[in-house]
Amino acid sequence: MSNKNDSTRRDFLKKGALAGIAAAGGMTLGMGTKKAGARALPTPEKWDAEYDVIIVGSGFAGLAAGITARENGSEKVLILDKMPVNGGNSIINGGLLAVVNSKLQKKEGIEDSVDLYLKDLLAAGQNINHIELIKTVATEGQDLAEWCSEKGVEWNPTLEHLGGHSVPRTYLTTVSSGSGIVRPLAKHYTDKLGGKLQTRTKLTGIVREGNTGRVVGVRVREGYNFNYNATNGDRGNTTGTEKYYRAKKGVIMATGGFSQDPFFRGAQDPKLSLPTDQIDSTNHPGATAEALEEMFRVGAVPVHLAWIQSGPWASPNEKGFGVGSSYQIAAGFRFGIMVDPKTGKRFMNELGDRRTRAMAMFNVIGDPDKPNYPISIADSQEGVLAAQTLEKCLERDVVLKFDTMEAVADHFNIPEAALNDQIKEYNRYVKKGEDTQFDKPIDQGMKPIEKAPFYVMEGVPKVHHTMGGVMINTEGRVIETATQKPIEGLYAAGETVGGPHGASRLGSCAIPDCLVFGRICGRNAARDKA
Amino acid sequence: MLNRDWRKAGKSQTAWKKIMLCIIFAGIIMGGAAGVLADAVLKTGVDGIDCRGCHGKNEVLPEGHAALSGMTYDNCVGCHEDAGVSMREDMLLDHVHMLHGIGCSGCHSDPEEPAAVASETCYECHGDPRAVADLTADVDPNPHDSKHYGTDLDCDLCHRLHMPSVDFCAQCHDPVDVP
Repeated sequence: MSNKNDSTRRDFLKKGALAGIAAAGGMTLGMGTKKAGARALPTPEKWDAEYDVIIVGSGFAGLAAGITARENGSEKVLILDKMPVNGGNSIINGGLLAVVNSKLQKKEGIEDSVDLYLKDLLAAGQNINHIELIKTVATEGQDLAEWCSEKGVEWNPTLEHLGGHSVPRTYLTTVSSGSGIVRPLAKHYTDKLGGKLQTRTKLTGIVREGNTGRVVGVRVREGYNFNYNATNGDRGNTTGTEKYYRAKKGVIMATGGFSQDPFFRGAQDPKLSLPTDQIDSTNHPGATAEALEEMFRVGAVPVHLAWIQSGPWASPNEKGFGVGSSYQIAAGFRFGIMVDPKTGKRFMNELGDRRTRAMAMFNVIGDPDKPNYPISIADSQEGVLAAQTLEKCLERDVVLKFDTMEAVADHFNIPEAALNDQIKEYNRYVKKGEDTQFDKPIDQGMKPIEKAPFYVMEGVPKVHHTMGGVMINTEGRVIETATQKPIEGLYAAGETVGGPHGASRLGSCAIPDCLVFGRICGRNAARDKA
Repeated sequence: MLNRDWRKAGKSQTAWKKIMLCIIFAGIIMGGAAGVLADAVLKTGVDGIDCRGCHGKNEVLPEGHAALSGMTYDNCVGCHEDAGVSMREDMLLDHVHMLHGIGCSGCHSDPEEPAAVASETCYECHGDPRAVADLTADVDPNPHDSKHYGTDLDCDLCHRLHMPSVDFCAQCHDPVDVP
């Protein structure tokens, strides 16, 4: 038993390192698409069920769409999900929401603006972002914390300051997870608004009407049995019964990214084509590409598909996102420093964007077979002790606790004098309010690293987010390659959309993107005259 | 805790099953440990399934294991607790159910063409999701009341009857033993 565990652990030490290296080198690629409707599914003779709006996917975007569609007068709204559980990635996500000009920013005296938000996202996204989309997120997302609270979401009373953001602007759910948003929204949608949520139902086709080209429904497999043992993204699974559902007003695709799809992610970056048990990801196993592929099949424009992001805050000593990532985001990177154990020196801005940090970390890790994991070192300052998952990290040996810096150096075999010099140097920057070594933004909550005991976490980047997807306009309508115009009746929101985040998404910007465009899609589909 | 639960499961079955169980236990007492009647018990115990199909001449057991003839689940548990060996790792849940008098028809409405069983069927004996969560209240995190899924997860995401159970949460978290 213990042997088995050990080998599992070793496997994913290796996996994490591999995954990261593979994801570090994204390139944008073009993709050929068929002429619109060329291979469209024919309209069935008889529909098995009829709805006003059908939403595919039950994460943040799908739920926001469902709620808004109901609120805007759609009687029959269906959210379907292929998995046996609802919530997709959202329900296991970190629960971080970055919004501008929020009540908490006012309370904490933080000055922010839509322009500063855009500047941060463009810097991380290497200026290839579809700027009108993020402008919509920043502008229309300002009420999101309250919009969620009204439906039962509970937020922490203080803001987080995440990597790549100029100022603290991130709300965090009290449960440190997106489930703190998904569960209240799902309850509100089903219980208060009478919306229907149906799991184990997989989309297998989008139906476009022959003469008009309008999307009028979907083909699904009801009673779908997702195979959790599959390592190929569950391709070739034909369980369930085929049905056709009519959508009178529109189909909203809220189907997420493809971090767990070896074929499709491998097509963008061949190093990522290894099976899912060999390359670790923070995503749920259903994060696969078939719905995205179906949108391309009916003519959608592919955007930024090869930009695949690895999260720099993960731990090689647990699976997936785990408890370590939350600690590293909230405490390790903000209040601590990350050093290369071989040198005892910092090597990056701990609050830089994800892509920059991930690439710097891979350089330190080196050979995945003999990884040299960088470590974050933090002390017992208030902000660190307040990290919600610190206790769990300690229980699970994801974070280790040391009484002296000498013990840290000893445990990780770090040159002690160099490490002490580095910490002294960093502490000077904190006192001065300016980091001239790596330009880490120093905020007033940060204190010098000096108060024992010290907390140390090994770090590895893991496949986390696929920036690419279909092209939409600011109305959430999917754009067709052949006509460069919206495909009538087809909407998309969330990670399945390409463009808003450009080359690399900033942390805590996915939830506002999903919620804002989910709401836009739900509203527009419900108001559609068709 | 688990034992108590299973006993409760047995008791809450329909009347005919109770009668059947009485006959079984009476048979064990009258027939003696290795008697002819005990073998008959194994044969007719539940839904007429004959345990000797596998556990007869070619016993599916580790070397040196006592013969199963006439054993009840409590007998199994008794020995295994003494020996400090967990039986759950090796015994499929359909066997555990069978030893408590729950055969195919106890869960499948049509045992001739068995379909997937909904969690509601499990709740009939094991209590509602809240009650099940209370049984594992001292496990942290409580798999039956997690911060991601609350008490909403279907039983069969972890508990498999005819194949080894799996740990749904182990996709991200450290694995635990799942009965």
